[in-house]
Amino acid sequence: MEFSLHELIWAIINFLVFLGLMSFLFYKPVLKMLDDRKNAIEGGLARAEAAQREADDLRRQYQAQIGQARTEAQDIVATANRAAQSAKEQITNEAREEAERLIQRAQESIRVEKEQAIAALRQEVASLAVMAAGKVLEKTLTMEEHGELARRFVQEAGEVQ
Amino acid sequence: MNPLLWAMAEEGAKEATHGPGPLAVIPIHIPGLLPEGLEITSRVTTMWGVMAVLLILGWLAGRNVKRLPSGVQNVMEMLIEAVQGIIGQVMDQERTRQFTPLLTSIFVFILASNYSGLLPGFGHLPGLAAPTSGWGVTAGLAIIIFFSVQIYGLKKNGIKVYKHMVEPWFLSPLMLPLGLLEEFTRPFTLSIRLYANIFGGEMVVVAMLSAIPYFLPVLPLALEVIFGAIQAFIFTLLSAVYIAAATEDHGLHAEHHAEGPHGLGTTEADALSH
Repeated sequence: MEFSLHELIWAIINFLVFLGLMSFLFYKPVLKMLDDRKNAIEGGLARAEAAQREADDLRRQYQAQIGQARTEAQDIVATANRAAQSAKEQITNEAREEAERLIQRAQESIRVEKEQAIAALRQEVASLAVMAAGKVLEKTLTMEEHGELARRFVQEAGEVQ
Repeated sequence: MNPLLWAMAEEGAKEATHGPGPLAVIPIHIPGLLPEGLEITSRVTTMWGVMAVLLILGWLAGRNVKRLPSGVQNVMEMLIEAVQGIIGQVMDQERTRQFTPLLTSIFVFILASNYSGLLPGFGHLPGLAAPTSGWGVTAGLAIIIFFSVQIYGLKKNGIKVYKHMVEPWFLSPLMLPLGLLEEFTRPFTLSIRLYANIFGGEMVVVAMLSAIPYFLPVLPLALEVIFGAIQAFIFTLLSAVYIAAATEDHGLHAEHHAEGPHGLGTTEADALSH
């Protein structure tokens, strides 16, 4: 059995010296730094989490606002559409009425002119007929008889019509 | 068989059984204990060498401590964290921090000492011998742990730390001697476990050398790497367990007999529940 009291004593001395020196050179600074680092990391993590939560809240807020704005915009557009629609209808209706009125007036004047034309034509035809008849009868009529025959002719022609 | 290697092996065996002569002697004469003064043996000088290397590494890591570690500081930090992982299993956070320096020093000292025996030249060259390959050195370390346990235990819990020896009062005559025996058995087993493992490893390599010199010794050498680390780990862990048991808060002080990995019973259960 390899037992040496000398080595035992030296081992104790050496180890205690070793422990002391290591504490001074290494443990004190490194363990302190590990603690600092742990605290810094925890602090950093806590701050990051808080910032994250804040960011989420803000994002929700903004999205709500955007949603609201969008709804309002849609409402405005819808209202504008409706207004435009009704304006369009109104204008088309007025235009249609105007057009109808014009058409009617035109038709009216056409009718009047047509009647006038027919009346004039009738006169002409009557005159011609009487002249022709005079020629046939070899008789000349006086102006009055001429006129009387023409009037009678027109009347009968009008009744037939 | 190569006569040179045979001679070396024989010399190694002789040294192992009779001990090498001292390299130097410090003339401190204590009659009875140190009749011829305090010797400085190969193991002592190797111990100094190991200490020097470790202290240099520690110093390099400790100056300009940075938040973001690199190089030596990083490696040493990993070391501390490894040890804290080991002892954190039996102690709560506060005590882990308190005992980290002591237990890390024990771990790294034993680890480096064990590995020093694997370097070429160690064991048969004068001045080079693995410290932990002698019972004296391991006993010295075990004594340090023993006194640490007693001192910290008394500091924390006072005399109550020995309560378990007189717990069932009517069994005291039986429990007290057993308790005392246990208390003193611990440093003994601690020291002899480490010594036997490291010394035995060395002897196996020597035996291999004397049998088939060229490649066979590589096998036990490789195994010694693993065993060296295991022994350092076990020594540290058990030291942590003993210290934890002694510094336990009094109400949970229910540490019991066996020290093997299975019989930790209540202590370990208490410690793990933290």
